[in-house]
Amino acid sequence: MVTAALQYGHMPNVICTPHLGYVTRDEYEVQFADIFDQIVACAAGAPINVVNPEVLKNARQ
Amino acid sequence: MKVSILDDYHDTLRTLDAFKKLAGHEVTVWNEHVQDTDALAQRLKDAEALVLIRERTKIRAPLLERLPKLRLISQRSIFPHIDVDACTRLGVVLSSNTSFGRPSYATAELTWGLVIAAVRDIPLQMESLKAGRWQAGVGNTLRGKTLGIFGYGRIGAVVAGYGKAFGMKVLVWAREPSQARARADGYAVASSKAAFFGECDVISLHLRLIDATRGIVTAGDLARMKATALIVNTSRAPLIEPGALVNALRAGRPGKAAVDVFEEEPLRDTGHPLLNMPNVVCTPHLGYVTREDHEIAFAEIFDQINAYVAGKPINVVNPDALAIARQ
Repeated sequence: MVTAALQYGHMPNVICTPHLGYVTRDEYEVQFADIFDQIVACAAGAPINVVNPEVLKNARQ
Repeated sequence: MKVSILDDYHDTLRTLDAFKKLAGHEVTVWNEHVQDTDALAQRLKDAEALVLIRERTKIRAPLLERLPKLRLISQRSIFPHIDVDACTRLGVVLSSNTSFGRPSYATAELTWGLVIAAVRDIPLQMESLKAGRWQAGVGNTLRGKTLGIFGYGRIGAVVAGYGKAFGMKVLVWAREPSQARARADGYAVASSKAAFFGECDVISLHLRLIDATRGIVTAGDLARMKATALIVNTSRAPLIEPGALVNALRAGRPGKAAVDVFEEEPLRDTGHPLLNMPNVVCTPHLGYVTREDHEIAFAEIFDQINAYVAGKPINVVNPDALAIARQ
């Protein structure tokens, strides 16, 4: 991580925020409901949203 | 005429297109604010016309009585800072247009900037980033939340539209005629003031400050707000009971505030509680302070001077002063 002071030398005409775009409680609720559902589904033996289904053949027990 | 301009903090007016309207006048611009009567009497001793920027300087009888050359005060909007009776008695004409049709989009836009700055803690997050600490916390999304508009006048209606554009539910509380206008514009009106304060996630004040609205937001109203709610004031500080906002924030309801207006302006007390609370976003009465709004306001203010010089004064608040107008 490079500090803003180093990278931009304190420019008064630049507004910087620390990658806040997705950082809201409401957004986290939506995203982590999904993410935790994926864990529960996997634990139940029926994984969802699998990006690499070929792995399921030799999935770890 | 000898024209004096007070409180042009950043010497902006000379750079406006509208300033050309003062060609032919002898103009003196004062940047630094003073309120002391002796200092103002000294500054304005030769002034024949005085240009005021909103309510930045109070113009009362003891000062007016020491300005024998003053013939015209030219400004815009409301004038609680001017002793109009003293102006009339002394033959000083006050020209001020109070019935402009265009809402202050500058104020509406700043209001929305403060809403987002507060719900996302932008000032705190910027500070954290500059200090090398990356993120400082997690904010809130506006979509689906309830935006409360207290006072449905011209600015309130514009801000309600911004809320709608952001996918918020808009709830209005206002006097009966304004409620009818809000309903006609398709917005819901709260069943009561108590319900309004209890239900909204964001409340923004858009009322004129008159006797009937002074202290209209009470400690009890604030105590009804959610602990997660935000109150925004870009209108006037005394709309809220004295001290009630600071106490309410300390008690945790509402959880946040965004404030552009203060009991004492200009506010120079860096120890003011609102300036020192991490859950409050403060700006120095910037609502109307944009180049575009200044162009519109000062074109009119300078036109008032030229109309007076031409013998046909406009937007005169105290026509009785004309009868005894100074030569």
